[in-house]
Amino acid sequence: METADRRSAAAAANSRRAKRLAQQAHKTHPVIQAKQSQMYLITTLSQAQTDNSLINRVLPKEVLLKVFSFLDTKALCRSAQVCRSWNVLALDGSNWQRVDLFTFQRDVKSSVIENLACRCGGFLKELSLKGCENIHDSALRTFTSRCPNLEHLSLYRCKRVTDASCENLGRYCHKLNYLNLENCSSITDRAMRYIGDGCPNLTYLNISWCDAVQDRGVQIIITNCASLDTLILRGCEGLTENVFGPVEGQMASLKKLNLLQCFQLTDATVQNISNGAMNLEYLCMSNCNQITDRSLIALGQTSHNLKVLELSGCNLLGDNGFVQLSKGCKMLERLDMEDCSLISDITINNLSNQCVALRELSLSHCELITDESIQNLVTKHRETLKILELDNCPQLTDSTLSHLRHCRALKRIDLYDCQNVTKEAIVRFQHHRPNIEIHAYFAPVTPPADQVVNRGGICRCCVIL
Amino acid sequence: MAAEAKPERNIKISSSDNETFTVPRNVIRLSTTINTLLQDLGLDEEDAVNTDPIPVQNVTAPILKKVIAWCTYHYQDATPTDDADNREKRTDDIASWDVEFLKVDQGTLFELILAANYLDIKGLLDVTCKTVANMIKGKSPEEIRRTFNIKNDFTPEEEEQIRKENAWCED
Repeated sequence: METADRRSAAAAANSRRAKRLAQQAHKTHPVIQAKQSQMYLITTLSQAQTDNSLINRVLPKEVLLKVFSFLDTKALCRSAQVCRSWNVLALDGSNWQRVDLFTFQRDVKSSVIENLACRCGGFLKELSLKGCENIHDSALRTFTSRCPNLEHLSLYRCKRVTDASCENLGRYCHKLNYLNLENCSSITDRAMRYIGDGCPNLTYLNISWCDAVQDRGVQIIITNCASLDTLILRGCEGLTENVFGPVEGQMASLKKLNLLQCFQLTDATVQNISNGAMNLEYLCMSNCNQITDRSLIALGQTSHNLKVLELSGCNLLGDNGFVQLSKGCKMLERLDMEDCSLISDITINNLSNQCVALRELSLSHCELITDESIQNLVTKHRETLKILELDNCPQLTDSTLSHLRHCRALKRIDLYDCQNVTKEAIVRFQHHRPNIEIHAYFAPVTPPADQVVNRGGICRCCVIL
Repeated sequence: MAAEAKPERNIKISSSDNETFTVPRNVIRLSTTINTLLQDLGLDEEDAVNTDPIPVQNVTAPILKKVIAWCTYHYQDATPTDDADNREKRTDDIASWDVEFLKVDQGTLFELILAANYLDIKGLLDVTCKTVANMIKGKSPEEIRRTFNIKNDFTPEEEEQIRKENAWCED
């Protein structure tokens, strides 16, 4: 065996030398030359003398590994049983860096976890257990202790995961930078303590709907994870208005903050955010219905980098606040003002004049808006406006549509329940701009003659048009 | 505007069996290997005309022809990005044109993979490797062996051992 190996190695070296000489004779460009010698080297080494299969003779190891990179866990395990060379390839660490069990099996057994953790070991960098609702702390204990190089972990909807798993994460996985615990509703501040102590490199944390987490837990994370840039806290109803108060000075790294439906938050919270998170680009405060114009004024004063602001359902907000906001936040690209029913044309005019980057605007249920401000918006944002939601704006008429015809970048308009916009105007609009999606609905005036109306999910106007 | 007015520039490349192909510059751009070479050798300059064909020594004429056909169909595609979302292990997203294009025998398919790898055409390499991955997926070890005519070189003891090691993936 040994002499055979040596002989084949010598033969390989000879043929390589011959090829190199041939190339020199051709005076090929160095790039091609490098490529060629690299390729011959790998092909010659990977050739098994006894293997007659085309695939193993033709494709070098690096290319077969590329093929294997598209295989899921199951196909890899089966490929490992095909022949010796495939066994080596299938078990190569490069195939076991990212594992998504969601596509593998729903009800993950602990034996599977044990085997998988064993196989991946230190290679595992990314693990998604999204939706594996039966997964227990014990399974995660296996993973965390065997796979210390984990950087990216999603436990979305793993409802049985508790503080104990977070303790193990903190103990073993110091390289963790992405952690999704959305809907792991039994975790508490203790979990945040373990993560904060053990995973200082965290840049992304999602603990949405973990309503047992309180102010202290969030504060520990902000204090300990200095490079945190995304914090998603949707529906964390345990948080109070003072959640950011004590850590205001440590929020400079934050770029994205989502506080959807954290009902207890007030203007004081937003004041803390605007004082501390100077680099914030994304803020969602939708359904935080205690906030008032004072919040918008605070954001306008300091949050100059804000690009996306979602304020859906914050129905105390009015023109005064938005005027100040548009003076300060000139980078705004997307603004959701659904149900901010106090705002009038004054808000829209100010936004149109000040925020030149505006691309998406939701004005659903902003009932005071008229054609006039839409005209102004169109004039200022002819080249940039992409999405405009105007449903339930009863004062808008057909003239809004004729203005919108001139917006070159427009992709979608929502017009549900705009009673003063006629079907004819929409048809005309569609004729001029067939590529723009329009959503509207018209109740049939008389019982319809033919029954093509009821197409689930498609609104009537789309059927007509 | 000035750039568009310029006539389409053509590049000559020759296969391992010395057949010469003339390919628009914009099309051959998809090959990072040739693209880099043209830039490095200054062949993109205005006055670089009538140069010798670029030798593509590892690719035969029939394969090179197919590679050029693929590039011609795809040269206007958006450049694939390499971000995290794109690293998914999806193989069910092969465009129907490509599926038809790759209905070839295994030998041709593997030669295309080699050519795509050598010429560094990312899109073609991905789609050909995905096609082979799809030939593996959903099959038992024995079925995979039959598909590719691979010899089972395990001893019965080894085979049993390896079957046990991998049994956990079978539900």
